[in-house]
Amino acid sequence: MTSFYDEVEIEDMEFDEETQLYHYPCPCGDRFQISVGQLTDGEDVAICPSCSLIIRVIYDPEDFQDEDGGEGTTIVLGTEIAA
Amino acid sequence: MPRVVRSSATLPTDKREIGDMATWSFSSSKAGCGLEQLRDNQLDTYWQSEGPQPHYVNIQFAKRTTVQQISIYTDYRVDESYTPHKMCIRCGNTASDLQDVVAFEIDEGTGWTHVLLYGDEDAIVSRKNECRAHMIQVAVLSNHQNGKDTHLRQIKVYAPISSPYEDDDEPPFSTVMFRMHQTIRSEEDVALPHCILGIDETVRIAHVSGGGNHAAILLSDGRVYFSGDNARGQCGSIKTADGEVQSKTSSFILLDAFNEQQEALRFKDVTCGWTFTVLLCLQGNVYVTGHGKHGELGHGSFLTDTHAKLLRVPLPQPAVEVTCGWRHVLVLLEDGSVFGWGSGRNGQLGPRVNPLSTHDKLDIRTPHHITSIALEEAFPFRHLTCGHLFSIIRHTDESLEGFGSNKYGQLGLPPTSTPVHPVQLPNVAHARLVQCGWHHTVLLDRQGHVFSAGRNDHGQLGRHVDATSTDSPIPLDDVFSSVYVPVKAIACGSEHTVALTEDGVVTWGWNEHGNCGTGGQDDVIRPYRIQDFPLLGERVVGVSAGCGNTWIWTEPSTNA
Repeated sequence: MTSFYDEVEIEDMEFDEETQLYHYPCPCGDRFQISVGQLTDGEDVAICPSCSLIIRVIYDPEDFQDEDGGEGTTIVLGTEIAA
Repeated sequence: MPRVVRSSATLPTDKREIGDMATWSFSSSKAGCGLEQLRDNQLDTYWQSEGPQPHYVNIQFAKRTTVQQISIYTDYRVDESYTPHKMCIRCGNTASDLQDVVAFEIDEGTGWTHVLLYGDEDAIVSRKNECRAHMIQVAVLSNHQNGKDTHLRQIKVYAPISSPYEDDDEPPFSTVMFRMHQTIRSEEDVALPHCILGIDETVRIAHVSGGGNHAAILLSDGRVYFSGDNARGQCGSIKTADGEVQSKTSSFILLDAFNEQQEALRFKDVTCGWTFTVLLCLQGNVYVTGHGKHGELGHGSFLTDTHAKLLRVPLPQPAVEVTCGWRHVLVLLEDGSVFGWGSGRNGQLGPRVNPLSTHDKLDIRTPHHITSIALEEAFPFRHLTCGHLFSIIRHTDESLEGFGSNKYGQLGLPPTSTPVHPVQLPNVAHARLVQCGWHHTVLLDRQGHVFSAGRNDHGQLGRHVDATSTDSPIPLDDVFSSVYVPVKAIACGSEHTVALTEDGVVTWGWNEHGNCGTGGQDDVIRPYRIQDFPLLGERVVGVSAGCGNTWIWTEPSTNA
C-alpha cells in the first residue's frame, strides 16, 4: 500500500455519534474516516472517500474492546453471505 | 430504487464506461480465464472462478466514484451449469463495510443483464440517492443446476455522463463572461482553469479564501459572495431569490450581511476555516459564522454553532487583518497587538497567559492576547498567516516569528519540537509575503525570490530536497529564478502552492484533484506554468488556493 499521509492520534479526531465514525480532515476538503467497528477489529487505516490519501490512526486497542461481548458494538460484515 | 433489466442485446451509449479506472480482483480465478478475458470486449471469452462459492469480483476505485449501472454478460446456452443464477451487488468504502444494494437472478438466456443501481429519477430527487462508492462487489451466490464454478463473460461499469460545467443557478452578476462552473465539491474535478464568474466592470475582486468545503470571494466594494457547503452555517445566511437559506450551493451567492443595528455590512477581509468563516468589516469589527467545537467562534465554551448568523467577536480595538487555520483564528488589531482563539493544542495560539491553567496548549475559547518579546515592541503594522496547526507573524522589520506545529519543519526549525513561544524563522532577511499550507511555508522576499520550508512529499516546496521535508527556508533553485523571478504573489493550498509571476501563473505540489492546472492529476515536483488559459484578453491580478483547489482572478488589461 502507499505511504500514509499522516499519523493521527484518536484524540485529535472528531467522533460522530450518529454514524459511529471518527473523522479527521483531508487536504482535499473531505474527511478521513474510520468506524468504531473497524477500530474494534484492530484496523488503523482511515481512508478519505474523495481521494487516494490515507492516514494511520494511533489508538490503544484496549479502549475499543467489546464490553463483556454483550451490548457492545455490533459489527455487520457485508462480505458474509446470508444462508 | 435499483432496477434490473434482463437479456438485453445492447449496451448503453448515454453513460460512461469507467471500469478501466478501477483495480479489479477476484475471490478466485482459473489460469487463462481472468481479468483480461472478463474485460476484453469479447463475448466468447470469460472469467472463471476456481474455488468454493460464493464467488466475488471486486472493483476498487482510488476515490469514491459515482456508479450508475453494472452490466453483466452471461450465456446459459454455452455455459449451462457455469451460468450464475443468484447474484448480488454490494457497495462500500472497503471490503469490510460493503452493503447489499441489489440482489437479482439471471435467467436461462443469453445476453446482458443491466443492473441500474439508481434510477435517473432518484438522482433528480436528491444526489444522496446516487450510488457513490470506493468499492463495488459483484457476487455470485449460486449457479444454475447447482453448478460450482462460474463463468462471467463481460462486466461493464457505467457512470453518468455529467458535465462539470452545469449552470444550475445563475449568479446575479451582470456582465458578459460570467459562467458558473460547479467546482466546489463538484462530482468531477476540473483539471484546467475555467472561468468561474465575471463581474461588473466597476468592481474588482479583492480576495478569495478557500475553507474546508466552502469559498468566499471579497469584492473591492466590500461585498462577499459564498459558494460551497453551508450545512454548518459557514457561508452565513446565503439565500436564494425565494428567501431560503441554502445548506449547499454550487454557485456564488451574495451574503446579505447586517450589523446589530440592521445596517448593511461591507467587509475588507475574509478568511475561511474548516467549517467556519471570519469576516472583518470596514469599521474594524470582526464577525464569525459557522461551526466549531474548539472555540473557533470566539464566544466561550458553549457556543459551537452560529446557525448561519454573523456574530460579532468581542475585541478591545478595531481589527485590521484576520486569518485562520484549520481550527484557530488570529486577528491583528489597530494598535499592532495580535489576538487569537480556537484550538491551541499544538501551540498555534502561542503561550497561554492564564494563571489558572497549567497547560499551555489547550483550546482558547475567547479572544486571547498573544505576546512575545518582539510583539511587545508594538509595531504599527504586521501581517499574519496560519497553517493547519501553526501560525506565522511577519513584523514590520520583515522578520518572521512562528509558533505551533513544526512536525515537518514548516517553522524553519528541525522537526523535533513544537515551539509554544514564538521563534524567529531563520535565513530570511526581508520577507515581503508569507503564506502557509497545511504543512509547508512559502515566503516571498523583496526581490521576488520564493523561499520554501516544510513538507515536500508531494513536491509542495517546488525544489528538490533529499528528505520528505526540510526545515530551512531556502530559495527555489536557479532554474526557477531564471525563468520566473520576480514573483509577484504566492498562495498556499492545503498541499500545493501557486505563484503569480510577471507573465503567468506557476503551480507545484499535490495535484490529485487537478488543482495545479496541468490537465492531469500527477503531483507537480518542478514548478509548472499553467498553459491553455482562457484569459479572454484580461490579465491575472491575484491567486489563491484552498483544499485541493486553486483560484485565479483577472482584471481587464489596461489597454483593453
